[in-house]
Amino acid sequence: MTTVAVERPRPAGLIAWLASTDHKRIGLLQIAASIGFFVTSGVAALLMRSELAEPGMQVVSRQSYNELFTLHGSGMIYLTITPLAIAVGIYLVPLQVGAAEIAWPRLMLLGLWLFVAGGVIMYLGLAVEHGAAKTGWFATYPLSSSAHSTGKGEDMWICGVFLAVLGNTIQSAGLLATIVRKRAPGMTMARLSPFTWSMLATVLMAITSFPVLLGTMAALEWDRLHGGVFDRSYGPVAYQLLFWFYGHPVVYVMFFPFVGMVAEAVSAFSARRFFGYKGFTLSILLFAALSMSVWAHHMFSTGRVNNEYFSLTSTMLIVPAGLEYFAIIGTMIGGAIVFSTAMLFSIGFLLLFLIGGLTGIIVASPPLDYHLTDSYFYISHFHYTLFGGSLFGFFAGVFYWFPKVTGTLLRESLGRLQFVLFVVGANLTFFPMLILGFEGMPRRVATYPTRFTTLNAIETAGAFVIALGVLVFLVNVWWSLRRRVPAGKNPFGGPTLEWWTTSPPPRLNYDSLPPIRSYAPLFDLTETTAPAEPGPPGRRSRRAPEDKP
Amino acid sequence: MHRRWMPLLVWAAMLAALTAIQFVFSTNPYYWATLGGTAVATAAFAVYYLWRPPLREAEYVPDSSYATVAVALGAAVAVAGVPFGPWLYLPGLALLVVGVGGVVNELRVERSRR
Repeated sequence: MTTVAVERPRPAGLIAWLASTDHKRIGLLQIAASIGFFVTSGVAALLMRSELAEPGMQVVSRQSYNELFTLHGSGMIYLTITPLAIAVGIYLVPLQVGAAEIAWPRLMLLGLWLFVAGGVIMYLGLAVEHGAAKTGWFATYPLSSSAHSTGKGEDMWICGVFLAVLGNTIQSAGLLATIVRKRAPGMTMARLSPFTWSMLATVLMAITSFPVLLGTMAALEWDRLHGGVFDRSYGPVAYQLLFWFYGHPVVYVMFFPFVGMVAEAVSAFSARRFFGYKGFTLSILLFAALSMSVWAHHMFSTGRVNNEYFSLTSTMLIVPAGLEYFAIIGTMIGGAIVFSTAMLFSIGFLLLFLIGGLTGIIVASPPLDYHLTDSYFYISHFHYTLFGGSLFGFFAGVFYWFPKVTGTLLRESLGRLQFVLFVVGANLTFFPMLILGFEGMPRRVATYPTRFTTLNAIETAGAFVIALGVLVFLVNVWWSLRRRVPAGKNPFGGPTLEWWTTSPPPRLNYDSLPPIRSYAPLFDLTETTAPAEPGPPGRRSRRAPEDKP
Repeated sequence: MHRRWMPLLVWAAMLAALTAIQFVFSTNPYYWATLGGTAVATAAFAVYYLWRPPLREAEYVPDSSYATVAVALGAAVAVAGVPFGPWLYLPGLALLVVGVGGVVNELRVERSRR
């Protein structure tokens, strides 16, 4: 065992929490803020779906509808899933690499508050004359120019996006420094956990693509104030090229950490070492690099990009994606699987993201893209990717790591109910969109021809089922924290380093560390101490912990 | 040479390879300036850290940093003030300066504890 740090007391109270440099508190605050923005953006989605329940205008005005879809998309991408992905890394990466603290803790705190301030400023746009931004989450130029978007709401959106993304960029740099510089003795790169590898790929994409968006937003604001940047002949295309250089990698920033979370949950609940560890790590790096080179596939229909190159790289994404699927499914095969809530969400992730991935291959083909572009097919593809992928992966991680974070188990019964509501709700909401998009219903419209009514009504019902699932989750967290079921250090037989320390971990994470000989040091210990025991390593019970208060 | 930063160099090489493939299809400057520029910037950053002496770790970081929060809020108000004018961005800048002063003071205290 290696002694790593001497414990010191942690200041208590709300103000101490808000200014804390402890990576666990920063991570938790960022997760809480992201969930707050998730609920707000989700309410915007419910209002939109209520408006779309039947043709004509019933609930909101056309202007409000445009504000709603902008705030929903922006809120989910800039303020919910991206910061959530990074927040999970801020909490877990130092624990998984055996560090006492995160690198550059002040900068991580700075990033948190820049992100929160950016979100508040974006939403405050609702309070100014002419309302909030109405130009969608990518603020297409010239729609976002001062000539076409009057009022300060658009400017506040630009400032909000700039601050939120700046905060996440700073935090990504800190996470990279943590992985590179703060690893415990014995924790080589080849012994990083799958989740930490996925975070490494994530932050590499973030620090190389996010600065382009920061520059683009600064240029857009300058253009709105003084002109002369994008208001030239190639300007609108240049804006799109620059925006999507951020806009596509961010999709993978919002996805990779959750792949890592699912990989670890599947390994623990299959009681097996992760299958194809080296292949997984190589494929995730290749996946990340390829994702940096596909950005202009969002612009096939402009006729101003090279379709061959971007179609080739976009289609090639299926290779590393397939390898990751193969590794996760290979981990399950032959394992002693426990169908806990975390495992159910992991399986749901695999199935729903598959639809998102396969529809992605369809739209990577320019001729098919010409037919489907700016239709509801894209909305479906994107939501299967980010809801079916990211959020299912996130909830798999929540149910897996909640005991480590709080020392308390979540209720499995409520978790299963949430899972069922999510699966039913997601498919009711997003599958009909594929049909609607194929039949020609455009995105971002507040009304539609009557022939689309039935499918739209089904989607609206599905959105409310998802909302019910979110409510069940919030009740589960509240109930589990109120009537605590102690979890112990390692209730699920997790193999990675963080399960060695107490739940919740102390201020400096570890009093001591076990020998680190692989990415799964706790499986190593079990194998060393109980070699005669038959069956898979790392578990004594094949049942999920009971829901007994 | 500090091999810990090698992943950055690997990443830069992957981006450079994808930039090279681009030239087979198109020489549009927006393509190679963004992807190729990113590869070069990453490589430069990696090379700098590969040969730089290891950074000295802080031995004591305070548990709270109110000055950092002030920096963030000051920066946010200053940025949000750009479209509104000096009545908003000047107070933001003032708060930013106060925050930076606080952080410098915290660093000074840290150094004195070493």
